[in-house]
Amino acid sequence: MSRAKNDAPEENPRPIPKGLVAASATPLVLSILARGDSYGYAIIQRVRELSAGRLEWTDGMLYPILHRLEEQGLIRSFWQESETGRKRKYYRILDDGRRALDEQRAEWNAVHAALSLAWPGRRAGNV
Amino acid sequence: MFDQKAAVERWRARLAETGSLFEADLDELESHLHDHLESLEEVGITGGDAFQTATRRLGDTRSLADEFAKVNPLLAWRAALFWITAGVLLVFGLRPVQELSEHAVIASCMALRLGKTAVSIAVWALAFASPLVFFAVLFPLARRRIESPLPWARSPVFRVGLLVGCALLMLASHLLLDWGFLYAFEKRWSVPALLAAYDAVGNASYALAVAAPIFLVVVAVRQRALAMKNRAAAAPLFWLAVGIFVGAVRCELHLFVREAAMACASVAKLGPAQMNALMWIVTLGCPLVLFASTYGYLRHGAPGPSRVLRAPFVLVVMAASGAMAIAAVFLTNPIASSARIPSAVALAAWNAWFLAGIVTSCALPVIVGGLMLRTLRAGTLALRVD
Repeated sequence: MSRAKNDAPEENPRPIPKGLVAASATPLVLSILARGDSYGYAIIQRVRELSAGRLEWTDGMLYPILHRLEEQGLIRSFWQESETGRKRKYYRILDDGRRALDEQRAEWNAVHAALSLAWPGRRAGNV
Repeated sequence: MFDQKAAVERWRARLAETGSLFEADLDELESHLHDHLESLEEVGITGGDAFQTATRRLGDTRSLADEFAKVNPLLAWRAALFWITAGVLLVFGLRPVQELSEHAVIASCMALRLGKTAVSIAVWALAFASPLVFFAVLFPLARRRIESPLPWARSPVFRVGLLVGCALLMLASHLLLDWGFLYAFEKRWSVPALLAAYDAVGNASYALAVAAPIFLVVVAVRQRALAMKNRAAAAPLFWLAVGIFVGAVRCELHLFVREAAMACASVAKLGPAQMNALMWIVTLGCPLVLFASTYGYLRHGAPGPSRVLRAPFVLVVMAASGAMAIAAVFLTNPIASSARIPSAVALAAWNAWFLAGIVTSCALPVIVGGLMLRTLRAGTLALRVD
């Protein structure tokens, strides 16, 4: 288990717990694909960048998630040759995927708004 | 010098062995591995270190297999399905053998002019000894194949022989037993002695029908406990016992459904044509519903076989269906004798029953065997989504 290096001393270097990682996986994958077609390795790199290394995925676990999303008709996949000549499986978001992303975004915003109001040190109505 | 190509091949083979990934999944994971290795090379990490880092990042074989099993449920069920269908097919194929050997025993006893008691003893001994011998041979044979249950089953001669053999046996049993050709032949011996022998066969088969589900549930419970104790990835003997159980229970329920349909026809006063249709629907419909529901369950939302094995509900379902089969043994005859149907309707029912029975005799080995072969081949299927 590799841990994120403590680059920023003011940040807590602890990786985010599994449950949260799993819950945020689908919206993250859909958001990344909403910005353009991508493939497994690049998606994982992007998640690391976005979370400054705190969202630690075991790389292989991404693929069952992608395959499930494909089965649900939210994304589709196609094999394509990369610059190096190797074949790669790319994923593209579909209209149903964008709709699902909008819904998830609204849900996460609701959770975020509730937490923002609830954190100690802030008073309700004083965000 | 670290041989990266060979290491990748070994890693891929280990993943393939788990049986939970399609070729396309393996291609995709391998492509990911190469992507990672290339980016590590850019920062100067190469050789064994790079390979270690990249494979560790991808996840260990067991947890990868578990995750993929959730999205490829049918593939994960491959081995378990193989043993279940093998068990069902064994019952379908061996039941006629048992019935025909009962008649062979009767014929030999008659030819030897043995007394009634001797005939009964011979019939009872055959009824109970043959399943026990069968288990004594089968289970050690299956146990030796735990690691790789598939190679011998891949041989084309074996497949065709198994399927054609089962179909022929069932056909023979239909013609000889149900259509009474054997009785016509046996009638040259004294009829009362023959009827007494048939009585013994009937009683022995009742006793066996009650004992078999109980025995098979006990076997399954034991195999389940063993598999859980050994933390085995696969529990072939458990699934084999489940398959034999399904086959055995099906035989009893099938007879019960036939008599219940007759009783319903007598209450509803169906005509011969309606009776004919009802029998066809019942005979063909029951196995179809069973197959469709099993397939649907496995395809959509069934947990992996190791999870099902661990869940106590398997044993509850087995106990319940075993109890139903035993109840059916005692209910079938009273229901049959309560039915009052005109002889024309009864004749239509029996004709439909025999013809549909022959159709299922031929179709069932094909369907069950086809499913078995499909699940066998699924492991090597290259499903590409181009």
